Amino acid sequence: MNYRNHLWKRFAKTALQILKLILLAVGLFSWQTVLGEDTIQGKKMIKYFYQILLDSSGEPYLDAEQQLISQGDAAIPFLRAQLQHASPLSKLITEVVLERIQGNDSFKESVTYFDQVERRAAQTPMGVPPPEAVADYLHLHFGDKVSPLLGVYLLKLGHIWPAWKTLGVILYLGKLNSSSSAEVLIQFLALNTNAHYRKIAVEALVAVGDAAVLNKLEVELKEMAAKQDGLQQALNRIKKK
Amino acid sequence: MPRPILDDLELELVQDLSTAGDEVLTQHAVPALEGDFFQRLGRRATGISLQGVLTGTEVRAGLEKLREKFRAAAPVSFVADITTATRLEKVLIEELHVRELAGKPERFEYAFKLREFLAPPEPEEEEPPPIPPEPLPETATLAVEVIVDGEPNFDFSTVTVTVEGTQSDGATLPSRTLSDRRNNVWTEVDFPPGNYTAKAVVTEPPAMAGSEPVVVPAGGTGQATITLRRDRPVNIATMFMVHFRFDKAFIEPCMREVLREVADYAKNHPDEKLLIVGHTDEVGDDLPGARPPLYNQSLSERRARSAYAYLTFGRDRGAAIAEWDQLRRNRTTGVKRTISDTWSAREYQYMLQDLGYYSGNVNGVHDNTTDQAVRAFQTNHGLNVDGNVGDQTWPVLIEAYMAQDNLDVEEAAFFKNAKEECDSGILKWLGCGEEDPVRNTQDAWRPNRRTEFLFVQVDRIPCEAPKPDTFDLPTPGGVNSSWCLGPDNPDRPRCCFVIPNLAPEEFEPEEGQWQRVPIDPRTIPVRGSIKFEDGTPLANAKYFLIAPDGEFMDGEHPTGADRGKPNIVKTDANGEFDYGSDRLKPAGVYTMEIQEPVIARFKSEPAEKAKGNVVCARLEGGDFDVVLCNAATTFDLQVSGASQIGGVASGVFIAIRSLSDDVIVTAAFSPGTCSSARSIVWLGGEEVPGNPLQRKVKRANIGVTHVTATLNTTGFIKSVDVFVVRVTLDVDADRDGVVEEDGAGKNTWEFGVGKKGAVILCNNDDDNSNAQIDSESFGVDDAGDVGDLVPLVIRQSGALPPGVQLLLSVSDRTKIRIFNQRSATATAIIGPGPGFSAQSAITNNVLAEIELGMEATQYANAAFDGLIRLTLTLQEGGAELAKDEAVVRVAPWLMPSHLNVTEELYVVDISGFNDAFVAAIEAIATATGVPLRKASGFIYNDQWIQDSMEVGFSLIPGKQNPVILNAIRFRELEPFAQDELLGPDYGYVEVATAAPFSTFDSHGNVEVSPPVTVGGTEFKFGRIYYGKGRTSTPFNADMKAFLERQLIQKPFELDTDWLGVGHVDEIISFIPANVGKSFRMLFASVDEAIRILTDLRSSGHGDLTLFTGKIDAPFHERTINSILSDPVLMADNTACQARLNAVETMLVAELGLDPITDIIKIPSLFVVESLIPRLFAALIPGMVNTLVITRPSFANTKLVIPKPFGPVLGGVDQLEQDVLDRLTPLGYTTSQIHFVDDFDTYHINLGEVHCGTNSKRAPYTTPWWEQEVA
Repeated sequence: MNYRNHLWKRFAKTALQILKLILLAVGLFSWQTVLGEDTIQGKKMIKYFYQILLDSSGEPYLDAEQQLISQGDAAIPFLRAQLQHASPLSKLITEVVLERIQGNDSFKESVTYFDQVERRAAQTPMGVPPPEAVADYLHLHFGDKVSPLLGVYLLKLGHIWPAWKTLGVILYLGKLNSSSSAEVLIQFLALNTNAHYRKIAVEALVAVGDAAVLNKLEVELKEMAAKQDGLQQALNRIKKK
Repeated sequence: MPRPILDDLELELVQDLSTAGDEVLTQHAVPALEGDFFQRLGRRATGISLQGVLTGTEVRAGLEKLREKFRAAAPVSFVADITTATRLEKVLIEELHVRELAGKPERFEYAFKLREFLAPPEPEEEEPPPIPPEPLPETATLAVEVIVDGEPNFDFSTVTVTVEGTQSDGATLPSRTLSDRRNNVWTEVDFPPGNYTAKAVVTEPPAMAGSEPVVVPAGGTGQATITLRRDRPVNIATMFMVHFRFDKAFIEPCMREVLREVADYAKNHPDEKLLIVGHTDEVGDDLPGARPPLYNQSLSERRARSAYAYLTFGRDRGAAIAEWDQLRRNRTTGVKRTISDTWSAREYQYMLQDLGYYSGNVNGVHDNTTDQAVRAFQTNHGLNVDGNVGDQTWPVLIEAYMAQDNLDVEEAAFFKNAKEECDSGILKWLGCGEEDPVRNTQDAWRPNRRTEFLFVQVDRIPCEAPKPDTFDLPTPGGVNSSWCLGPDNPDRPRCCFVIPNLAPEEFEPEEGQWQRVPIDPRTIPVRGSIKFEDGTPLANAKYFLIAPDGEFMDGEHPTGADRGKPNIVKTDANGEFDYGSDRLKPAGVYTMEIQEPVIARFKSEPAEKAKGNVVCARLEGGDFDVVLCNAATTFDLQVSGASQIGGVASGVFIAIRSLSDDVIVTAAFSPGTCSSARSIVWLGGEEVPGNPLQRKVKRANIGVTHVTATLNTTGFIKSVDVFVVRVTLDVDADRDGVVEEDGAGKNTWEFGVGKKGAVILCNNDDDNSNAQIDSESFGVDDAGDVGDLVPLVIRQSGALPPGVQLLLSVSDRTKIRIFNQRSATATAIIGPGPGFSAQSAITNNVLAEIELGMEATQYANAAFDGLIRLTLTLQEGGAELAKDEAVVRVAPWLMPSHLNVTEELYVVDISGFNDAFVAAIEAIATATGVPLRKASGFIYNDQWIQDSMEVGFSLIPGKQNPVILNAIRFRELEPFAQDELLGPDYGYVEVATAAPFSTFDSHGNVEVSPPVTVGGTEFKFGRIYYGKGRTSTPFNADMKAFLERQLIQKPFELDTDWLGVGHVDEIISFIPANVGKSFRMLFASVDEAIRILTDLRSSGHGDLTLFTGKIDAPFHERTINSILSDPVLMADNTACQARLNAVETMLVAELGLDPITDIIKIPSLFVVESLIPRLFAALIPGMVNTLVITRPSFANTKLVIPKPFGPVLGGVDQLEQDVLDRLTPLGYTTSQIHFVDDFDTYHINLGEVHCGTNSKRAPYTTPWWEQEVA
């Protein structure tokens, strides 16, 4: 029974992806037509996808990333300009897209590894790769070079990734120094609600924890408290209405 | 050293001399400062111990002198060097031990303990106390000092001091207890002047008593000092007293309380003897002035006899009844000894009132009410009902009266009627006639009309007592056949054994004469009230009150024909009376007779104690408050032990047979009203012994009992119907396949042989093959499905009254479904699903037994302990009347081990991929006669069928089903079990979880051992073990809880996280054995593989290859030399062996294995794949990962082992040979061991034969419920 549901879900998911590709092709056609007529309009579209990149997660994020990568050098000036006044996370996202446009091999290889190990594990009784092995492999082969990409992906895709990949990247970040991973892990903890992921992320953060991490955590907690205070005030006032 | 000199004695041969003395310091904290300061309080008296030997002729005299000073505690001089240091001058001798040495005249061994004598300080001068004001001339002060000879520290709280005598104004001062005590002096101010006797008594053993006269002068202080001595025996007689009506020996109801106390005292004081002595007043002698006064002598003896009979009724019922039956009779005129003490209406009114038949006043008049009471008594006792209390009724009435207390003072409590050669048993009683009055008047004071009960710690009376006058009255009341205690001389004093109450001043007690001390010497003020329950006073109510000493509180008529009658007085306007604080009377039993038409009781007594106008109560300081009730005209019937239905006025009750107590119907009168207990005439039901206001309906009497009660004074009738039904909720509590009626222990659940608790089956098969698990449907599939339903029987006998229904309910309807019958056409009445609830009315059960069917819908799991409580409720509307309960447990899911017979094999047949492997398995299966079911690889493209499911089973009495536990593993084989295997008597279950799956959730990682015993604990079904997983991917918590909650196979976890796949079946397997123990554990061993390869290299075969012809890295062909010289591989395998060692240690501990004999080491090497770093996989095909095909005959059992592709020498695979060499000693032949090639299909994908196969095995037949579970 569950398996049948599972098949139906997979079928539906595949159909949805095909539909999205069709819509994307139609959109690209329209956009390129417009761009050819007016480059100013094209810059607006880069800005538009960049904003989606920052604001979205999951499939929309991947779509926006692909759109910007496909722009190649045309998007680079805009993206570099954003580095000046972006928040730490936005800056990281921007850097990753710039790297991807400029052809970062480590980024490509790490993504390729995911595909390879997933295929291999599927042949074995394991079924899915062991997160610890994934983390070890990434650390052994890439050091902290792929931490920007995987950090961004963790935040943007962690909720739709299979568990082994999400956990593998969290464990990988936990093996690095704090400057490479702390910000991402803190943001992950602030945003993600999966109890098991959070438990592993806490362990990872503790592993990389140093004075800098401590400062970041304190800042983050203050911001959260401020937000909570506002929410609490609103709640109290609504109750009194 | 100079010899010490003690007194005049020079101590020679001193063998030991020691001193002890120190300064006395007291520590004081300093407020608000740290630290303490010490105050010197001087020094303690120094102690000296001396031991030695004295010789010489003068020594004896010196020692005698010392001994005298020792006894007198006189200081003696002491001289010795030691004194220089300790400043001694004189000493007191604390201890003196002297022993004359045997065989050595004039030679003494001595030991002294001396204490420095410090003269007591002179008393300080104190200010003289202020001169007290002159006392008022009419008052005085009394001070009584008590000294206990030789015991200055005596506890004087145990002493009672009383004073009695004659006041200066001529009035008698009755005994007054003094209460103001300071240490050993009792003082009372404002004491009336007069001449008194002060008495001091200690009743606690050893008892003491003493008295002194004291004159209290007007305006002055009278002082007396009483000295008590222990060493001079005082024959204290502890005294109880019963008093009588004028000229009667009948023991009135209130006096029975005293007799009960006497019986208790006798029981609790076996060291004391009891003498019963009757007395009379000085009135009534037949021949005035004649000696002896025969009439009074006989009367006093009759009073004693009456008491003796009552006290011994319990041990000689016939004699006691006969005695009273004699005493009550009218005697022949002229026989002085039997006189006019004839019991008549007054006496039987007392008795009938006390027995609850008569609620009128005791007045000696046989009126209609009395007649009615007599008839009721006769009716109830099967007597001829004529209203006449004659020879037929008296004995029965006497028996009923005495039987209420049934006292049985033993013979041993009495003195012997024996002396020298004469022995006539016990001394039952004596009479003193009028010899020993307590009041020296010629009036007939009631206190003289008494029987005393004297308890004394002596074995015989202290004087010769003459033979009683009534000694030869008809037996059995006579004393005995002969009289041994004195002469048959009526002129002798009868009361020689006690100090007379009114002893003249010149009287000197004879030796041994007893001094009587009341059992309770306290005196109390007497006051009280007579009021109705609502507090309304009975103003000006006529009454008389008798004190414990027999005195009418208001006196009695002293003269005339009615002499002996009490003075009748009245309560005040508030219904109260108060005799004042200067009229203290003894604590004890008070009797009030209210001369009004009332029914009364003492306030603290329950309502049913109101019997008539006589009220008794023991007073020890409280008030004598009497509560009245009006004669009842109606009543109500209250029913206990049954539930009323149909409203409060219905008169219909229902009771359940299964409860133990009977149903009691009680006639209850309205508050403020009451009636005699026997005024209710019952019909229906049965008598309640001792409680005529109640009737009982036995629960054994199934059916309807109509109980009617009639109040005979008014004819008021009330009735109830009591339905007794038997309703039971029955299950197979003793697990024998039979549903017993009301089986013991059905409402609890316990594991163990002989323990109780029913079992139900999780009905998760699909008997009609409709692809639906049976417990998910609301009906019964077919006849085959009926066998999966466990019977639940509701038995009822006795019709239910209208409006009452039976309701069946369960504690959790999501876990159980109940069908209205056990048949293919049954329908669900309770269970999960819309339209159902946790309860259902049982309607088709009138006077019948119905069988329902139960199925469990879930196994025990993280949120469910496996127990379900069933409740059958008898209810009216929403109100619960009664219930019966049973507890059932869902039969657990259990795993068979490799020792259980293989019934079916499973493999995934992926055409073009694993054909050879499947063919090899099929060939072996066919050879062993085990069916092989091949899952289509086209549909289920997942070769790891071991990981997808575990075929277990569930067992209930008379039924077992195999049940697949599907793995939490979302791969292609996930639907296989449900789609392909679920069917009739083949169940399916999966564990719900929200967690993502990991390799540790595969069932190659869940295995079970054969039966083991660990530290004395037997696991008849083995123990489950699994790899615990990693931090990021732990073994699924829901699955873990599921396995643990089954309770029987107590799971434990192992550390396999160092393996990439991480399954326990990679390194552990159990196989049957035919030699020694019934099984062995196969366990992976790197050391064993290294040893084999090293041996081969050492013998020149280092170039032999492993995995010959294989090319896929890291499983490609390699030489022995290459392997052994690969430092990384060797380091990795060393690490693996360390992990294996840890796992082995855990297995040995958890399964109680012998590491030498129970474990077979299988050569293994491990390797790391590049994509999966730091985690290990089998380099040599894992030969532990074996398919065990177990057959009933060991000879047919097969082991299917991955072919290791080891180094071949002389055509023999050396690794295979090593395994064969290890297994053949267990009874295996080479034909039972098959090495199957799984290298290219399974091994290089990190699995082996076991991973690629699965099996269904015969379940255990041992009842799991008999296993003890901690």
